[in-house]
Amino acid sequence: MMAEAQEFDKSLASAKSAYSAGNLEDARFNLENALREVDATIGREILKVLPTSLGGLNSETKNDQVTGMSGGITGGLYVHRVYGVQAEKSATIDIISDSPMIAGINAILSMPSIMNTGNNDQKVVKVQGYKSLLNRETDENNKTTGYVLQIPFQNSLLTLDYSGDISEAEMLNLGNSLPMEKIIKLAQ
Amino acid sequence: MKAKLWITALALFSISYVGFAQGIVGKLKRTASKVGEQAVDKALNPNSGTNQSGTNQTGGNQSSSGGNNPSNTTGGGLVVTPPDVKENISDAENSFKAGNYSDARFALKQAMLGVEMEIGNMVLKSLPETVSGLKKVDSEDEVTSMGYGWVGLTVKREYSNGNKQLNVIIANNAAWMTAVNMYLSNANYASTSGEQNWKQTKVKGYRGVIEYSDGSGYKLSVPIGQSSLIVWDGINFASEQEMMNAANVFDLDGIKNKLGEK
Repeated sequence: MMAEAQEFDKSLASAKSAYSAGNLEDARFNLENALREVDATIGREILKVLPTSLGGLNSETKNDQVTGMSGGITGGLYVHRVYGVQAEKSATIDIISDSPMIAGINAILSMPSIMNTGNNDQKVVKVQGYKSLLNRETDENNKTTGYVLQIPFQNSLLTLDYSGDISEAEMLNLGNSLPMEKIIKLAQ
Repeated sequence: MKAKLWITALALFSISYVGFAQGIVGKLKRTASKVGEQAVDKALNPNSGTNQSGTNQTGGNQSSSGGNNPSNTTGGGLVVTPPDVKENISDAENSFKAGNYSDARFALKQAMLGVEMEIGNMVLKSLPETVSGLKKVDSEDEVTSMGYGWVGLTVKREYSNGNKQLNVIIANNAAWMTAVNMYLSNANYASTSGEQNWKQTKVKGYRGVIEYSDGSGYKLSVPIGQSSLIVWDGINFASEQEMMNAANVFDLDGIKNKLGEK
């Protein structure tokens, strides 16, 4: 946290002096860096409010991430937490802001009737009042191997990916147990 | 004979009744439709729909579709001054220190937006005033930026003379540009695709792709630097050479430098 604040201050100071000197490209580059620091700080704040265990699976906090590939590509907030490392059961939570996937998911959510009739493994559900997309994952025998729940909010996307034997109702309970209001407040 | 007359009279009556009935149904439909429209108008805008409120008098023009909603004829538009960079940097600093990260993020994005708009305007100013006898259309000059993220900065200019037109779009710092760059720089892909309506070319040493379609004319796309792309759309250009000559008027090195590209 301390290091992040120092990096933020450094980037901002560099941006300020570059802008004053008329070096717009350097100003932009340093502002981008400062923004990354802010995103990482927000990410760590979100990690603090995420549950330490999910459906009996403990979080692997050493694998927590606040920057990564997705964050780099989309240029926004990125939070990643893993639950459980057992071979038969595990879960991940990913939160990405400014995600290019948001538009696509929102488009699907706005036409639930079409989607519900087109794909039996995909349905629109409500999690804590938020319209969300639930995808069932199956093996070659059509046995459920897990669920992926995508909850878009504002310009961000929360994805809860559960691998293992779980029912739809249990998956929705997991979704409903997440502190959505707190996450949204931090990520906005 | 009498029976024939009766049959004829009955037939005529039936026909006229059907026509009358259709007329009634049609009239009912129209009335219902009008009442429905008015109800919707009223629900959406309680003050609209009649000239009694006086709001339409300032608006003047009613829509030709027959609706009663007033058209907007006044209003000064939005203030499009780019955000103050220094002020937003200072806001970001204060918000971050106060632990208000969301506000810090917003202020930084605004500062970036301000910087990008300045860069865009600088690029726009550096573009030629005329290209191959086509004059720039001032009203079409455009700089757009999302401040941050995968959309990036876009600079647009239009040159026109009669039915001949050249549109130039310069996109910078957009994440999707990486994909475009990979696509355009992959010569193997280009040579094996078998497409006849596009080919690789060079503009001032920069490799690009020129395409042609009868419907939209010539399109020339040239990536510059790591994450920028310049696209020319030529409408009613006589030949590929004429299109290339137009593109060669642009100072690509200058644009690249202004965008901070290497």
